[in-house]
Amino acid sequence: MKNKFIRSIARVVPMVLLGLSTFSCSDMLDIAPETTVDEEQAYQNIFDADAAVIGVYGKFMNLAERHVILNELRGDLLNVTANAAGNPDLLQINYHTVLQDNNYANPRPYYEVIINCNDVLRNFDKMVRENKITRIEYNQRYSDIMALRSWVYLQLGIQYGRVPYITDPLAKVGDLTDQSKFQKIEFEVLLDSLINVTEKIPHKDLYPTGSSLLTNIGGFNTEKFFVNKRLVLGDLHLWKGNYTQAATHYRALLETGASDAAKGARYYDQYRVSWQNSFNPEVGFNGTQNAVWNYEWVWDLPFTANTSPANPFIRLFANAGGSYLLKPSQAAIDKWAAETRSDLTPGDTRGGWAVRYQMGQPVVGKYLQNFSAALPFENRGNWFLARASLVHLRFAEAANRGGHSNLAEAFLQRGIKAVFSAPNLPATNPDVTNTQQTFLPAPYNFDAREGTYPFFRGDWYRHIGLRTRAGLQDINFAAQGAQDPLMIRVENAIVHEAALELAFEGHRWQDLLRIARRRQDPAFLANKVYEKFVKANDPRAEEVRARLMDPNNWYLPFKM
Amino acid sequence: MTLYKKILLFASILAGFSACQDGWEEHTSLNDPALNQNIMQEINTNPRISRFNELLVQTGFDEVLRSSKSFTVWAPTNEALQNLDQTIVNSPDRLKQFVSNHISYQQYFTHTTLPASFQIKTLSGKNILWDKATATVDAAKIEEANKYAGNGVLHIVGAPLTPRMNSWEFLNNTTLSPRQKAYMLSLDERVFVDSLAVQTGVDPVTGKPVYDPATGFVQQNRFFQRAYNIANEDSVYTFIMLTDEAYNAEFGRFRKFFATSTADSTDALTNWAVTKDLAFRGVYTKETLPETLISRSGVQVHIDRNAVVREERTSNGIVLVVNSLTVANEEKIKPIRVEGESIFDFRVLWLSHPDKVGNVSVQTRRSEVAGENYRYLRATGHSISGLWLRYVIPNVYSTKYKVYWSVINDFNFVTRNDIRALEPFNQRIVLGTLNATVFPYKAVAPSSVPVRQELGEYSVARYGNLDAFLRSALSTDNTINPLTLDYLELVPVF
Repeated sequence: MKNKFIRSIARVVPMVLLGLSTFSCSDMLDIAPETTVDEEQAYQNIFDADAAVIGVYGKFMNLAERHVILNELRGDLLNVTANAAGNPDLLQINYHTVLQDNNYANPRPYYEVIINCNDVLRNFDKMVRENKITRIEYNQRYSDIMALRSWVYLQLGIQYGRVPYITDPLAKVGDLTDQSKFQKIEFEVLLDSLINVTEKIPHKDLYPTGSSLLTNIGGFNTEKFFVNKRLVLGDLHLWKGNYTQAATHYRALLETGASDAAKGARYYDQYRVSWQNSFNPEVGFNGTQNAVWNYEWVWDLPFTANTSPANPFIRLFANAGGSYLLKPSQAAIDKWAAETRSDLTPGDTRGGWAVRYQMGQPVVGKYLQNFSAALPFENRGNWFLARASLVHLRFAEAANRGGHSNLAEAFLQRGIKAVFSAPNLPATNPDVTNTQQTFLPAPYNFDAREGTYPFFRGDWYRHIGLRTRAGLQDINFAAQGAQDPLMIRVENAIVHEAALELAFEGHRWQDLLRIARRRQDPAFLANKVYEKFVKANDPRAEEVRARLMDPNNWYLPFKM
Repeated sequence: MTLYKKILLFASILAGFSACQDGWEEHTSLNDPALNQNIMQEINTNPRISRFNELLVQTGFDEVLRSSKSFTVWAPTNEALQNLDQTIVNSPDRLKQFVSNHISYQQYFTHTTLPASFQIKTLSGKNILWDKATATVDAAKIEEANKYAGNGVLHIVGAPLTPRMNSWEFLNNTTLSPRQKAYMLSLDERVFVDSLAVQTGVDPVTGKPVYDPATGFVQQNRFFQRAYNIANEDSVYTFIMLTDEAYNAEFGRFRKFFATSTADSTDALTNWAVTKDLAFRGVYTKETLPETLISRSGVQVHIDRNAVVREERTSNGIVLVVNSLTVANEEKIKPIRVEGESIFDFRVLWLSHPDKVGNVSVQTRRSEVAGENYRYLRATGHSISGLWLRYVIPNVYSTKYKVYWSVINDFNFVTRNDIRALEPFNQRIVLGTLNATVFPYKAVAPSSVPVRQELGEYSVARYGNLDAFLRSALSTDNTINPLTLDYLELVPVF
């Protein structure tokens, strides 16, 4: 009996051991890495989701250099220096002769961000399904990444015209080298798709106060790190020609300051180009996050000495301490010099901060306010993506095309109150009950009343136009003998003002391209760029002009 | 190892030994016997230049030419030295200068790549002119060229290279213009330059350095600094020497513009005014004199060819001795212009009410010349009756002037009955003392460009500083008491 029992155990034990071993296999042989997080475990909680958002923006910052080069060097305000002679990539961009292997024209970095976004969006979907983040948290983060992806796609459309539109999270960047797998779509179709997905995002406002993403990274408040969804939507509609929708989104952005007038300065001054706390270009580009910075900047990503990617602009722009490859064009310098201030002094002070002189040479000052050649490793700087002036000009552009040229003029130069005041209003103690308002349908319904008897302080009573803020004389749109209709003249003035106000901030080529497309007038764009080369005494001026007269040459070759 | 391989190895070692004796060493070795000699030995062996050889030995330059620097020697033939001036031969200093004028550092061959005409500095400190086209050096024909030795090259020339005086030495060594010479010598001064002095210690009391009293002093001449340095060998000048007759005439003509309290200072100022415009850049002979020459201070001087009584080439240009010179009054006594904004930076010192400094501003306006701006000064909103700004105009000549101002009133906007318009205001210029009343208040009419207006005539009795006051209307009403000034100009009347 005993023997039989032992024998039976002896028979069973190997079987059990064998069985155990088969079960334990999965644990014993599949060892999780100790120092890296597995993809499956990367999205566990809200902090992982936040890390994913910040990670996407880190990747996004790699686009800074090409964004500024493609949008400024192709336009009329930035030119190459003699130092760029050994840099064929920059010369190709400047002369609009870009070849396929041009480093700055490679769309791959854009798609790296897009693929990242796609992956993060898929994982956010998964997290909310598994209740790892709340629906509200999901909405905010999903909308942010979706809006950023739309912004990047809009840039791709602007630069390349026809691009593959990829939303599949499984795609890898390497797949794009086989272009047959991904069909390119036209810019207009791309705009429709982008408007479609972006209008559907559940959260169109900023991250709310208290959000775990509003924090401090490397000494910087993260509030302005994230793309403004209203800006993206406004831009998409503006490119598409949906002027009322564009104006609606832009206006929503301009009124994000605070929810009610009791908040005081922030309510009246943030993004509203007011006479109080007005932006000062002398210090406005050093990235110090003070109140005035907060009232002007919509989107601003800082580069620091200790974080990657490093600031690319010092190498491009600085003559003292950099390679000085790019410089303000003579055409740009002349634009500021040709302005006259309201006290009759010649010259636009904004030019004095946009263009500075290092070792006798003009340099792009906006990117160098934090930099000194004496401290070459303190290369702090900013990627300036959007500020109130930009939104003002874009709103004016939409309002002008929407049939409200006088409102556009108010934003451009004199302010709503001045433009919409009744002409016979007495100078002292006027009754403004029925004036100083636009009396237009939304989104053009502004109240800029400022009266004492009876007392009024309209939401926009502090508004002054951009030229008034810059201290410049007004452009007289009522001048006799003008050839073009008022709308065209105002639009020309908006584009001109954008050069003075936003030079080198990465908007110029987009502005020229958008207007040229809208007017179907290649000469508009070609002549502006032509002027840059003429004023630089560049013998290739005619050649560049002829090339740009063909809209097919407005876009870069697409090759991964 | 096979035998074959051993043989091959042995053969290649052998080949290595034989190669040692060959090739480069012979190819690059110096086997030109001329290079084993120094240039003095070369000179010794040449009988054509034995006389120059003697002079070299006599002056000690033979030792120099044996040294291991490199030289070019232009040696005159014996025939060329036959008629050498005995005053040179008898004076050791002059002889030394004469000999050293034939020697330069560095080697200059006729095939050395040089400009067609090239100045070469000799050991005498003077330059000689090498003209490759005519194969001459300072007009002496090169008879035998490029005789080289280890430390230099020898050219044999057909004439002596006698050193010339420079223009300053010429002035000092002649009596052609005694008055000018006396004045220019009086401009000599000794200046202490601490960087050239030898420090011998530190004063224990003051902590200041103590210098060797024999060092650090440099002889200078004010004419060299403020006009041209006509003792400089490395540039060329045309220098005018006036005979006493011409000098006295010029002096007499200009003395009245420099009236001061003492005759001495008037003389000094007049002497300088006459002398400063007597040196010019470039060499102009009597034949090539242009219509006018322009001096360092910008004065156009016309020299009459018939008045040139002597022409002397010097080592650094030419001296023209002239017995009559008339520089136009307008050239020397020029209009004086004071820009309104010139006192802006130190306006607090020159303002009647220093607390109103913030009411004075400089405005920039676009000039009628495309791309240019001009600036003017204005004072507004100061609420002071009779506010004044003082301008001190230096070096005003004692003569009669026409006084002009250039003013602009593009700022005095006044709103009356809800209509905003530019209005005129009054201001005056006061010259000399604040209570002078030569020029009355004058209206400044609205204008978008500066307006130049004549204020009247004014006589200055004494040369020197002249005070000018820009004075506002006697009212505290800010709409009628602004000040504006683009510039003030005094134009001499002759």
